[in-house]
Amino acid sequence: MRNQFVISGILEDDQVGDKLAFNNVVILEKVLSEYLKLSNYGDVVGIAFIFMVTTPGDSIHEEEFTYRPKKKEIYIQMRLPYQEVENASETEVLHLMAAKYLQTLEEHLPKKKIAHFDSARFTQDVQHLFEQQGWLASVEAA
Amino acid sequence: MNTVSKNYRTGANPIAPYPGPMRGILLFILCCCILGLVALWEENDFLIQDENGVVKLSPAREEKLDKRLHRLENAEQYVLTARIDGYYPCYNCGKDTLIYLRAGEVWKYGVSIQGEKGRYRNQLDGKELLYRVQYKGSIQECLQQEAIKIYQYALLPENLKRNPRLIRPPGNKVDL
Repeated sequence: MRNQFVISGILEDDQVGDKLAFNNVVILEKVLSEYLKLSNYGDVVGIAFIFMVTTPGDSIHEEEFTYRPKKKEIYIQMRLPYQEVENASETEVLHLMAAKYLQTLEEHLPKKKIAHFDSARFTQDVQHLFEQQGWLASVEAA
Repeated sequence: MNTVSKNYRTGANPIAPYPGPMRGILLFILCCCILGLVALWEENDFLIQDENGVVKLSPAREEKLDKRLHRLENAEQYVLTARIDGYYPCYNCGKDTLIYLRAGEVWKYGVSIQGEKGRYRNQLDGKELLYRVQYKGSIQECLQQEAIKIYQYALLPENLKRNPRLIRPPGNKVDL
């Protein structure tokens, strides 16, 4: 993994995909990397989060949450609803991404029971970070 | 009982014999036999005979074929683009191994079918790349689209402004 936090996307090559491609994936990765250090929480050395925004009926890409114990890396692929992204502004899409990121950690990390990694504290810190950025509030409120 | 016979009694607390490597070997042979039987069963299970004596594929093989055909009918042609401005590996730059790409510029064209997630995954978490879906259709159509895009890449404005120009995208090692 090229970085401790990796954000990328599987996106349609259209204006809907562009809402993530040019700014939002970079902003999210930059903020996570700047404010959080995975080594503070234990042994996990990398978390890759791939946002999928593809048209309905996509049978090629599936959601997944995988931990690779040998590499101590987490690989996540999660879908954002295409129509929701289509109807949202670029700022709203960033908020959708942050909410999905946090929701995924909350739902999947406890089930994985990764040894020597404080999942609860990490998830809490991600939530605080996103709150500080104003990403968990609705766009009008922010 | 004298002292010697007390100290060297053979009947009480016998030391368990060391199983040696034989137990492991036997276990290995047993596993091989089971796997062999399963494989043999699967090999012999691929054909059935209907009530008229006509030989045909077993339901399991038919189902497997249908799934395979469905996957080949539902493919997609994608492009991996630079996520940020920076240096990326280049397989078509002569002696240079890196090329400077601006965000959004093409690194590689490819084709995916269902169940082949491993092919692009390392590119997404290992390099600064995004996966963009450009065309959906049968594998045949997607391979045609891929070939067209790889060849036409040389004419893209992002390539025409370079010196020297590339014959194909930096990440495509061959035409197809």
